[in-house]
Amino acid sequence: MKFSVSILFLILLFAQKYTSFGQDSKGFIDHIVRSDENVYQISLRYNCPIDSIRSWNNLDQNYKILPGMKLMIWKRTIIEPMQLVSKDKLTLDTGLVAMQVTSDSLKNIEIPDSLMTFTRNKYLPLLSESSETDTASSFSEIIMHFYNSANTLIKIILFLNLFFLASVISLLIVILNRRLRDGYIDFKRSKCLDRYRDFITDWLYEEHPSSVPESILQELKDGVNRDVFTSELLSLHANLTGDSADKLVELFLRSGLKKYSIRKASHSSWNVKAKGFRELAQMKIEEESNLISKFLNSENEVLRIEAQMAWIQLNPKDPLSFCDDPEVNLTEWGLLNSLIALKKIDVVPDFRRWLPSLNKSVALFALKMSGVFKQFDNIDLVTMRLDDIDLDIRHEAICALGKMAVPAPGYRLRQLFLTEVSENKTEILRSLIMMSDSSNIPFFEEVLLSETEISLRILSARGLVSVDSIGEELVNSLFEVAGPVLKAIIIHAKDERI
Amino acid sequence: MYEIIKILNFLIENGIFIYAIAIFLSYIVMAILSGTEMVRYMRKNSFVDYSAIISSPYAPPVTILAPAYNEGNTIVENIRSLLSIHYSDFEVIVINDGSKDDSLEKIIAHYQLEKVDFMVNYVIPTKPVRGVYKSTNKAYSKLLVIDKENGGKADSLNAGINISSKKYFAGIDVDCILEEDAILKMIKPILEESQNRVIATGGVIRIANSCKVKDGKIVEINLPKNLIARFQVLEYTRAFLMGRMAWSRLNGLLLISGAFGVFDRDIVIKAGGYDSKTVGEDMELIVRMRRYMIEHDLKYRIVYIPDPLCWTEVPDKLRILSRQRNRWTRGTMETLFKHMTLFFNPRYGNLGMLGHPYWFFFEWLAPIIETIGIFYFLLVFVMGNPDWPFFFLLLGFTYLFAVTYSAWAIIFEEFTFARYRRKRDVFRLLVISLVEPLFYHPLNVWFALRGNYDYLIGNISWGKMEKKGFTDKAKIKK
Repeated sequence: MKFSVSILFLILLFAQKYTSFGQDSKGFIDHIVRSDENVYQISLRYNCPIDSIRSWNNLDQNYKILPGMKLMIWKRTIIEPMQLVSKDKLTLDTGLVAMQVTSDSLKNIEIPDSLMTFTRNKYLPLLSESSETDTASSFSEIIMHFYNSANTLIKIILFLNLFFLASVISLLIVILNRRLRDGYIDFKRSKCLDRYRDFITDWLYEEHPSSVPESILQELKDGVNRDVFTSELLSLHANLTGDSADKLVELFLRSGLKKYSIRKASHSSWNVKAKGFRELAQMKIEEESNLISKFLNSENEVLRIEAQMAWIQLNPKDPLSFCDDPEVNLTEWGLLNSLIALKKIDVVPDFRRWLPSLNKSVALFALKMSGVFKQFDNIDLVTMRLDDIDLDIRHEAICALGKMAVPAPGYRLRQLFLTEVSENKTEILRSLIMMSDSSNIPFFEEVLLSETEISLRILSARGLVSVDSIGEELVNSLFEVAGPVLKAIIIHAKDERI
Repeated sequence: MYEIIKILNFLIENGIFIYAIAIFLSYIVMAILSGTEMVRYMRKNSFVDYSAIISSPYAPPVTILAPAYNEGNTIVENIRSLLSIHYSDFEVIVINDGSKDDSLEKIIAHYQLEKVDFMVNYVIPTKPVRGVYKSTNKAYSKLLVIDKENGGKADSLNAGINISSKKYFAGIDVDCILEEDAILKMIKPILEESQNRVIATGGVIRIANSCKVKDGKIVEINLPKNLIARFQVLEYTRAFLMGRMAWSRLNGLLLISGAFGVFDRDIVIKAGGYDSKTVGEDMELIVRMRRYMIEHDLKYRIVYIPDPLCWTEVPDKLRILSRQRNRWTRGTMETLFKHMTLFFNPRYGNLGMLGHPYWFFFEWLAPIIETIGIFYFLLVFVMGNPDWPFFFLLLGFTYLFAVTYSAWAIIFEEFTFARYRRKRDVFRLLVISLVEPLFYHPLNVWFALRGNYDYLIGNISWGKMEKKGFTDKAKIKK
């Protein structure tokens, strides 16, 4: 938001780079003296004092210039000749008048008389020479002249200006075009959508559907039509199970959509490929799972997740076999999607196999799932992971034990509490509360009285209140003798509205 | 004297030349970066079913913190909108920052609140909490209201952080309208990272002026009728779609707008919470969180997502806009100067080598340099002889660059979310991009200068933002 484009006018700063205000070497150009030139002509040509030419080139009082000599000229005057020797001045037939007009603009120059007479003869050739290029009458020629006399920087900027102008116009056209195209596609879609919807529903209700009519098959050769048909079929399939779902798969195969899905799945760009995986998985094209297996641990996260989801759906017997790969990279987002895929095929694997995994993400997954699906047989392995050196794994193990809410590992948790970091301490208390086991009462009491961190004390007080009547009595008796802080903690813990 | 002018002239010319080239290049680089990032994001997003997050055990609990000060006429409506958000495990904490109006009474009456015996744990020191309220109605069990003594927005957020118990919190302005799936979208980047800890996510703020609002939801999106607000639409589109996206890619994002962002509560507390002494507390917090992570050698990311998630009313009067920009400028300056150790400090990686210097030179200094430029040009105009053709060429270049940049931002919007469905609106935006550099931009420069001035003379008043209530707005529409 604070991101204003503060660029305008900024560049004005170097607009005056070529003014007479400052002089540095960048502003100079070289002029090579021709055989028919003298200093005065050069000074006229560049609209600068003769003295300046002398001083720029470190020449002494009695200098001479010779043909072929290189003179440094300050550049601001580079476009001046065109203005000086403009068309109306050319109509004057005496060079002298023209010279006087121009010399008016060179006020402070003292022109030696000898030089004056000398130039009078030579003046006309200069004018006529200039007039070859400067008889610019039309606008485009003036522009061309300006362009030819400009230096590289100006040319670059001119070019960029034109480029920007063109790009703004083309962006406008792009927007217009896109809007029109979108409108056309929407129109095309809406035209076929209803028809396909009816056709698919009819297919579902027919007892023994025979074959897909030729007309539809023909239409499906068109990309847009096919997209509409496929997405309609898939979205309907997602909400159906059993016979009707199988019928839709049948329709998918008979209308020849399978080969397009396979083509998508082998496409070179990842987003098309992922879409292909999705279609193959939903339509249960099991024979193509080799196509998918290569991407189970792809660098591209979207592709990887889609491949894993497809794999789960195509291999209901051992859906999570990719977790055996010690290098596999699982993100929570990926696992969240894997869970959805598992739900679709209605399979809950035993996570015991991956609990001891050395791959951290796999171990975390197995711990979490053991808790979520309450796989009580795995308590021993989950408890073992409480000793892990990794903080996150310990955390997940504590959570899992809390979710299972079995009192048995309570002792290990209480022991762990003494050495844990504060986030995990909180989690241990939460898990112990869920176990609601009266053997935790002395522990809670100790935490409530001796811990310094208030959030932990509140949790332990809550643990006492929730466990059973003995705990609650203990809290009440503590309240009688408590100081103000402990009192506030106990009141807070007892308030069930919070 | 002449010698001095000559030296000055040399310095300004060459310095400015390099500066101008650098700023243009940085804009081009950012446009390219954010362009590629956007394409990737949109492709990636076409596979996402956000509703899957709701029922998943992987959805982390989130607290929504909404500080409110004198929002009496809209607060009830706004809370209802917050409670209707799509998420599983969340709570809404509204912090009444010692309002002088009847905000608290209204909330208590409407949501059937009663005071609970809450033991406030001041992990981050704040102004005292007068009371914590919960509803007796089970339908509002997710709502918790804090009444505290006035201490400003940062202080209110800190109080909310102290009381919240969930792993993440989303700080929002109470008068913002959140899209229903806003939290889902903000949480996803957190789930996606396995190597780095995502400590904050930011979302796009869009402009709600002239949009139709019904039951706390945007039902029709219109380009603002007011010209000043319309300029800001362009400005926001450019900033969010072109700028932030690129910085997110570089993991150098220095600012998550105070109007909407999700943060890791634990890290915020460890970093010390919001700083209630600065007016730019949102930016300051991000910088401090980054510093905390780097100084403790923790791997982290701050992510930004380009979806339009939060709609807010922007100032439509110059007076209020001026105050807002003034405050932003002061906030930026405070943050930059407070963390000057970062400036080109290689220890801080992208934050020290890119983020901080970028803000220093191109956000804070830009308006100042621009002004110097204008004055310098005037000086040249009076004393010397400007090269007019060259001048106009450069002027044209700058102007066309600005317009092209804006046009690209509009294209980005058009190819991604295309929230302005009417063709007319898009072309109006293009027209706006043509006049923006001539009218709106100089105004912004002026406001920024005023901000600098106020910072120097130590004026730290908040510049209260006056906003019209959405309910009023809806009435006007009818």
